[in-house]
Amino acid sequence: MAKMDNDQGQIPYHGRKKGSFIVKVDYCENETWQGRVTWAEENKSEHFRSALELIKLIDGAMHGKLSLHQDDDKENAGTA
Amino acid sequence: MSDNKQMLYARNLISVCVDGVENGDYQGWIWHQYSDEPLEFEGFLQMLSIMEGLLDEWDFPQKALATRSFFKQEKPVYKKHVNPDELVIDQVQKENGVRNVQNKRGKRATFIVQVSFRQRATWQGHVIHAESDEKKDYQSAMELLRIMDEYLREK
Repeated sequence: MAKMDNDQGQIPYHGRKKGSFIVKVDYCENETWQGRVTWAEENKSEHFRSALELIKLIDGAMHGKLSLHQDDDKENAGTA
Repeated sequence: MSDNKQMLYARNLISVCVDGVENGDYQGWIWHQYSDEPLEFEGFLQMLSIMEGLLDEWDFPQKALATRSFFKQEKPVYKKHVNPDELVIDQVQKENGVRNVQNKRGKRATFIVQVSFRQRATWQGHVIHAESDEKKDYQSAMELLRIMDEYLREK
């Protein structure tokens, strides 16, 4: 199988920015965490439904495009 | 003592072979059934990312919830269905063949992981710690990490 391309952003590790995140865990259900994370530098918040999702949100922010989509401050659709 | 080893049977088995524990994090290799080459990870974050990447690539098990991101939502890119009646993972299997991953071993520990469901934005499934031949269930990726961590601390 070809090389994995796991991250949505294409910036390699050495291109990472620094980031500050404020994490509020509201519930601990189903063996994981639910709450809200705020990306301080960008003043953006997202709800997370699991620790995995929290990690992916932070990791995504660190790997994401440096120029943000300015018009996308609304929360993303939650369910498929 | 029985000779019956704990085994898992699934199309998406992943064998996590932990070789080292450095800087409070784990290093090792990830084997899966559709490649002769393992994927290297240098920390648990990369391990989760590689595993989630494989599950996404196979589209198996399917995610119950859409991925959230701080960025504008990108449409997930899945393998093109040649035959819409066939699962993506079945196509991957046809193209690459199947290898046994339950015989791989890490220097520190080996975990054979089956992700059965991806509900509540996390994973549910079973994991075998190969060295102790114990099988456990987990309800979230965090619980899976906790189980792995317990075995790695015992060393």
